[in-house]
Amino acid sequence: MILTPSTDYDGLMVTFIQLLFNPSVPFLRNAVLAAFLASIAIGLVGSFVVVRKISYSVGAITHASLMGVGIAFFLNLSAVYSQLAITLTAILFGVLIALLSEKTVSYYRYDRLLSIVWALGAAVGILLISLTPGYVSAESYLFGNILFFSTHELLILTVVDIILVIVFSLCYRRFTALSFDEEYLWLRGVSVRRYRVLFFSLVALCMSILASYIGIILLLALMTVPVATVRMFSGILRIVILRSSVLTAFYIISGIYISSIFDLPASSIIVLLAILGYILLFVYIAIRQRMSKIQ
Amino acid sequence: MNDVAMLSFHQVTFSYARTPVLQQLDFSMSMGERVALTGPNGSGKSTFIRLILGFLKPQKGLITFLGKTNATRRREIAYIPQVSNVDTSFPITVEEVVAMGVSERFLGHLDKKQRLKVREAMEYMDITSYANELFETLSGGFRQRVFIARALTHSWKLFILDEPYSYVDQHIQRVLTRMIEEMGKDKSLILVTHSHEFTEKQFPRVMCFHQGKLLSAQTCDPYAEHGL
Repeated sequence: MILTPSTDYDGLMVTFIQLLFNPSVPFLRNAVLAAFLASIAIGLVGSFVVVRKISYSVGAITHASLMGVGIAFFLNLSAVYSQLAITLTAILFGVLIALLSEKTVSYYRYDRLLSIVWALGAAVGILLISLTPGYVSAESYLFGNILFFSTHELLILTVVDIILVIVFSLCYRRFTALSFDEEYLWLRGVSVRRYRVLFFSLVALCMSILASYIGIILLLALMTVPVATVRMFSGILRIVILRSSVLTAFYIISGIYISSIFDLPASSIIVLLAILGYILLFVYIAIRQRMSKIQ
Repeated sequence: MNDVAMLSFHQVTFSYARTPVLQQLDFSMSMGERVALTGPNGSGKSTFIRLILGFLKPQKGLITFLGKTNATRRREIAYIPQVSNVDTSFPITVEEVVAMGVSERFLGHLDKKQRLKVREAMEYMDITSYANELFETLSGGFRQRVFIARALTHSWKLFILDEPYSYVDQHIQRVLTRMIEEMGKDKSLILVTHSHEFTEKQFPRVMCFHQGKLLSAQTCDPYAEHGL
């Protein structure tokens, strides 16, 4: 527990802010910084994931990258090489899924193939972990820890953000066109396969790095729920990206704050806050529509 | 009419799994020709178009477009898909859709000349005031207009309209008439439709899909297929 429970919530907020700037408590500052950095990547990639309706593909890439976790444990790799192994495995599966998602593969076949990729990567990863001598577990990759970020990890997050923002800005027109009408883009002579591979590689890069830090379960929730919430009141994709990034940062920081007061798991609180936000907005919009119909 | 073949199918056979759709199909159209293809749903119209575009490959036979068998000349096709072929819920603006027609440059970024083409195409289709609207908010007829504007941003030899009358729009009919009037002799037009909202003057050649074959309208009365 970071803060002592009290009913004086204004006072707790002041203490929380004071703790953020207290040099002897660097982890809280790092966690908030990480929340902002992660929100940029999540808002950007998550918006495309939701509007392209590829959550299942992203789930498959992320779970299949458990193979990288298994390889890292089995070969007893250092932290840097472990991260590299996880990221490269994720990108490999990302490329595989990009190639499998070609229009020539029918939707039902593609869906089945995704399930196979998902299960294959996860099964090999768990097998390698079980074959590793001593006690090792993939728990941190599944559940992560949003509260503890080293300076080194913040640096990696910053680099990932820079890569994602630059490439997505440059390829924005291509990625939107690809998502909307891939066949027409192909007819115009554009190498659709190249852009699809690039897109899924970037998604894999984002997912593997973030999953290593905040865990698959929280990541998949944050990839979809804030964007789905924002889509209820925002249309233009650029605006959706921006607003979902802000909303994600808000949920993470609020989750950290609430969990620190009540000594609860931060990841669960963040997910519940995001879902609550979605439900509240959904109900508000439904009531407003009903009222306008009555009037 | 020019005798050079714009498009030809020679003994083309195509099946989905074990269901034959087109069987030893022969078809040829010359430059400057306008052909209307009719037939009921599931008769093979869309498969025929997808074979022309190169999205599907024939299991048997040969397809040539402007004398080439491969898809290198596919850029010279202006294709108006059925609205149901795209993800209409994707949050893309009208201007972004139209710009796809001239997006072959580096990363899809447009230069001044291309931006002008996009604007002219939108003006031609009377959709300029909707440039920043989301495609998903438009009606079916307006979505067809956006697709036609997109096709008009680039040069073409063969214009394919895949069932534009799914969303009957007076504006589209006017544009089609104007396009036919302005069409050069080196350009051809294929209209795929299951309705008959075109005139003989617009499409002097009408063909009908029947049991995997393409028959002339005299042999296969398209109206009879609908019990009309």
